Amino acid sequence: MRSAILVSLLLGVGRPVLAAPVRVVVVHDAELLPSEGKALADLERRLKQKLGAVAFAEASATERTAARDLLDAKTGAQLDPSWQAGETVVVLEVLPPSGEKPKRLSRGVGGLLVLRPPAQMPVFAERPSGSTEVSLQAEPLAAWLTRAIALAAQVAP
Amino acid sequence: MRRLAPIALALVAASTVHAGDREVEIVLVNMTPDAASSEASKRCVKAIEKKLSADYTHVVRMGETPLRKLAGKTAGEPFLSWPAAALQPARQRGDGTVDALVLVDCRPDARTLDVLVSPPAPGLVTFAARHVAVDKPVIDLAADAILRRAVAGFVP
Repeated sequence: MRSAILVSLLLGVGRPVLAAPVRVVVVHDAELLPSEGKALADLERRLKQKLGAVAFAEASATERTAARDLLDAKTGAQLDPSWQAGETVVVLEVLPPSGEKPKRLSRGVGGLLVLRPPAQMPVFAERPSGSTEVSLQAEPLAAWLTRAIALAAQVAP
Repeated sequence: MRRLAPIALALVAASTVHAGDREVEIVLVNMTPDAASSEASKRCVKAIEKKLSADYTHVVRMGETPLRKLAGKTAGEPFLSWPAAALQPARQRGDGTVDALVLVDCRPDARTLDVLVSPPAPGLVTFAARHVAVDKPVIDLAADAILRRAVAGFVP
C-alpha cells in the first residue's frame, strides 16, 4: 500500500488514496505579504490536487500556542485539542518579513512539522534557528510535503 | 553536465542560490553512537551521503572523534544541543570555510533519524524523523530537507 502511494506520487499518476485526512496549519506572527499569501494559496491548490481533501487554514489562537511549543520542542508541549487522532497535521511556520513597510521582504519558511495525533512527537520535524530560512515557493514545498504526508499517513495513530 | 549544476541547484534548493561556478562543499559526519551503530545505520548514512552528492555538491566525510575534538565536545555531549559557534572550527578549511556541515545519527532499528545542519547562513537546522521506517523514501525526504537548508546563505 505504502509503495503504491509513493509510486503514484513519484510518477504523478492519479491521486493517492490517503487513509488519513490532512490538516495544514499555517503559523505566522506578522501580517503576510501579498506574495506570501499568493504562494500559500498556490501551495493549498497543489496539495489538494495531489492529495484530495486537505483542510488548509491559518492557526487559531490555541493552535498557535500548541504549534509554537512544538516548534520550539518545549518539554511537555501538547497537541491542540482540535487535532484529531487519525489525521495528519502539518504545521508550517511563515517567518515575519524583514524590513519596514513598504519595503518588507519575505523571509520565507521557518519550522515545519508533520504530526500524527495523538502522538506528541512529530513524524517529521524541521526546526531552523538563526537565518537559515528557505524561500516560500509553492512548487518545491508542495512536492516535499506531499511525500512527507504520504509517509506519515502510514504511521498508525 | 557541470553547466547544468547551477540550474539544478536553483531547482532543488529553490532558495537564495544564484548561478555560479563552484560546488557546494558539504562535510558529513556519522554521529550514530557505537552502541547504536549497525549495518543498517551505516547503510542509512551512506545513502544520505549518496543522495547529497549531486552534480552541484562536493561531499566529504569527517569522523566523529575529530569533529568532537574541534568542537570541544569530547564528553559525549548530544550534538543536537551544540551551539553554532562550536561547529565553526570544524568548518575551517585553510583560509576559508566549507559551506555546510551535516551531522547524522541514523538508527533504522529504532525508527529514528536525527540530523543537524550548519549551513553558510548564521544558525542551525535540525531535522528529525520518528515512528517511520527509515528506508529509502524517508532517507530521500530527509536528504532533500538537508539540501534545501544546507544551501541557505550559499554564495557561489
